Amino acid sequence: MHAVTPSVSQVIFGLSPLLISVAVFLFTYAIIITEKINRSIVALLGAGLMIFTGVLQQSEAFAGIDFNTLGLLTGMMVMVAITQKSGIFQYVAIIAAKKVKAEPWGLLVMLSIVTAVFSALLDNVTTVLLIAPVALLITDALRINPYPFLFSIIFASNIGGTATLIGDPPNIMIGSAVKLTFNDFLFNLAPIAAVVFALTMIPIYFIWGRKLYAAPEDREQVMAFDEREAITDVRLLKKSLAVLFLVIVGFVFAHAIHQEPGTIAMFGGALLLLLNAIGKNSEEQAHETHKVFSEVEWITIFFFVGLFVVVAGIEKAGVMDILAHKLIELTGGDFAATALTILWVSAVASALVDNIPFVATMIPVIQNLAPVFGAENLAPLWWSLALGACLGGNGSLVGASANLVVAGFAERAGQPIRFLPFMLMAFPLMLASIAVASLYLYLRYL
Amino acid sequence: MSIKSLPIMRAATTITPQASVAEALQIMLANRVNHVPICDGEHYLGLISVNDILRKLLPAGVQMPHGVPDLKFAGDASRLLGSHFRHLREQKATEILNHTPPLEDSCPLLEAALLLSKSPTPLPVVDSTGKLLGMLSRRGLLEYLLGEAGK
Repeated sequence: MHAVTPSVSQVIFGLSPLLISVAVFLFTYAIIITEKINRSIVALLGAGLMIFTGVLQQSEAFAGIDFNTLGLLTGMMVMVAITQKSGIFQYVAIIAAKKVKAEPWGLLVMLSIVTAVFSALLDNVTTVLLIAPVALLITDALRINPYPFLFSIIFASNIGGTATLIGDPPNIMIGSAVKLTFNDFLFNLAPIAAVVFALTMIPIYFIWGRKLYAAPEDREQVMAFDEREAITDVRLLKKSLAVLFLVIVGFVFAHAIHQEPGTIAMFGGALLLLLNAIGKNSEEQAHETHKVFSEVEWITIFFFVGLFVVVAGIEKAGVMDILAHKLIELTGGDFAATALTILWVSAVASALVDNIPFVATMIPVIQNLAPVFGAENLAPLWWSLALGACLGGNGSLVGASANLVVAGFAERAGQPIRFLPFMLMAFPLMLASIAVASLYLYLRYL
Repeated sequence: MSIKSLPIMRAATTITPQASVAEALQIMLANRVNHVPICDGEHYLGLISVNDILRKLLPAGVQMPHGVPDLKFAGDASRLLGSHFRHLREQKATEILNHTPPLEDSCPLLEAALLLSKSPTPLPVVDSTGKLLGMLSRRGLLEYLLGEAGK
């Protein structure tokens, strides 16, 4: 979040800006949690109320919107929308399946690794949109229950997303607000994400993995899949991979070249749109470009826009300062206790509500801890927030959008993932991953 | 003027809600039609078509939005098709029926022509109580119009 230039609020009827902003904030969040009205609509209305009630001026509201986050998300979505047409994701999934001779447990591990790696480099929803249908197809051909595969894909996507700056929206927001680089995330979060991933596979093996069996004839059927046939457009594939590679290199050197990830991602998106448009007449170009833009998840983008403004409202009214003081009171000003509190509270909160609004609220709270601990010492608190928010998404079916996408697929495949049975398995597994993360934070930073 | 007053409907063979998918398919093949209405007594419940059966044989991973876009890479997968077919034929036809909205017999001719042009199958015609009166097909409608034009 950008610092909002302080100005005196002219709140309607001379009411307290603190009171009004908190009321708007709580009202907005309450309606988001009920999920009765699309969250982007609620966030935009909340943002409007912050301005109409006089808590924020329009210019302050705009200053609160983190365009770097929006640029990064939009740019990545544009690139993925083009790249996925090439069939590359099916290709990788089939190769992975054949590498383990379509043996079910090996397959589950491979598909989970593929999901985790893609989730680290792309957004989680896109990754599971691409991997889950292939997983369903392969389990169908093997005539085995897809449930353990879908369960593992959910966990892999959230754990993989934890590993990098671009893997999960909370990381994008944190990185953007605090100027942490792609490499910072990679060095500090990727190692623990890898450990958590490996450890998560152990209970999955004992619960499902060891009982998975596929008949040799059915495995033959999967071994007969021809991954080269999955590539539908070789030229597009080459263009896409070249641009994605450049963008990742750009992220790695973003700090050195003094550019924000949002600029790099948007430029990459524009470059790939250009390569996709070359050689087509203006009508085809308009059609293609329109199609790509229509695949950008505008609900998420506008949700962010609204939330940033709502959070800017309570931030300006001084709520974050108060919350930061409460947090310090609670932990007695002890740094380690503060970091672990942030980790566990973020994890439980993110399992139950959308982690995006939670992180949007927590960022200014942690920024307000700078006077207590020193701005240069806050890094472990950011890692606590990122680990809690990302891994916490595994705790329930509503913990992350990717979980709901997988559940949607499962429903259509006749193997519905129900809320309570999922949570019974997933919540303890998530808590275990947070325990591991606590140990990591404690040993490395605290 | 509505479709009720025109000689364009034809009687339909129907199946009961207890019929299996295999029975529905056999009736369609024997009668050389691509669809058959399912009726509880005389009451229309829905249609089952050969296309509904074929679609159900495909893996779930391709049937859904954002599913696998093509299956060239998967080869013949005849075991998969065979196993789906064995599973499907035992199911009740009502489990895969499509809820094609029927035409009310009071529907005007032009509206019926529009709806037919958008429908993949002939449309069932019901009276105001939901009783199935017959089926209206593109062929039936065009045959009637051809005859009228010749007068």
